Amino acid sequence: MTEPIDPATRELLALLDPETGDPGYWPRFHRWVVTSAGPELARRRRTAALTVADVMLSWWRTLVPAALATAVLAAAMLLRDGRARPAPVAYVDVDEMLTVGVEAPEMPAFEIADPDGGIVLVNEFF
Amino acid sequence: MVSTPRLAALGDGELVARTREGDRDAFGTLVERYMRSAYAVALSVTGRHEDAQDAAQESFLVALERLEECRSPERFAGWLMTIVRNRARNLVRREVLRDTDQLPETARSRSPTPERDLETHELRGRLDEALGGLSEVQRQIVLLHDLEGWKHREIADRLDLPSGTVRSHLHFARKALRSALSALRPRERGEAAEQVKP
Repeated sequence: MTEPIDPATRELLALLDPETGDPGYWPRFHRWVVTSAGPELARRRRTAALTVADVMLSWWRTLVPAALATAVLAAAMLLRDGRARPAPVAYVDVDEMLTVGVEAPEMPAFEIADPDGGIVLVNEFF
Repeated sequence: MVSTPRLAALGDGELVARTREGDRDAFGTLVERYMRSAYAVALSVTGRHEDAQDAAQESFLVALERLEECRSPERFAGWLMTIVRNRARNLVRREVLRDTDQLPETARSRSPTPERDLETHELRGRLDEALGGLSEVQRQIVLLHDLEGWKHREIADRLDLPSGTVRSHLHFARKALRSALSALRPRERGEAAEQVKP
């Protein structure tokens, strides 16, 4: 059930309506809001009219130049690094370090095994 | 105003959907449908015509920009009124902060044009005073119900209040208004009523 509007209160409250003292107030209010909303409404119309191809194209326009710029930058960095690279380090084993430059007999040569079953002898000693 | 009978017959949900796509006429219809209510809610918070007007107008623009955040387009009115209340409260806070330039009390609650009649002016002053004695929510309810013609159910739904609370606030607000304005002489009330008729 809806309580009826109190006519006496309504008459008094009507004084708060700006239209009471200013005829044409509400049409002006309306016009101001709709005019001010123009740019946002136009933006929404443009967005609503976009197709999938438009979206792809907008991505392509951004993506391709960005990828190109990144590739050029990467190439430049690689080239610069190549020029400044230090001489390669030669790694040496411990036993190699101990024997390098030291005069020492070569590894012993073994007799060729006697095909008839003879004994193999070492002919040199360290 | 741009609203056509075809658009005026549409529900809020459909109008919001069209406005999201930039339909100027659909947005115009929403503005036409809720501009008075938005103003009434803003006035119940600010108590000043100029601030209420600013808050109501800006709220429509904010609502348009954030329309995607309106999760239930068919409940656009309640969502809009929340924006109006928040903007009006922000305006009041700003007013309090720059209180040094406050207008004199006699000039604060006037309608946009000078009062044509001293008695109407006095009546308006009494009305502002009486409304000032109500709470913010009571002012909103009495203005939306008795000035804008909203039903209890609509107020409850759009202000997110229980229906019983709306009824009791309305009852209390009317009683307080009658009591505050009962001192007015019948002649004043009669003349004021004559002036507000179209």
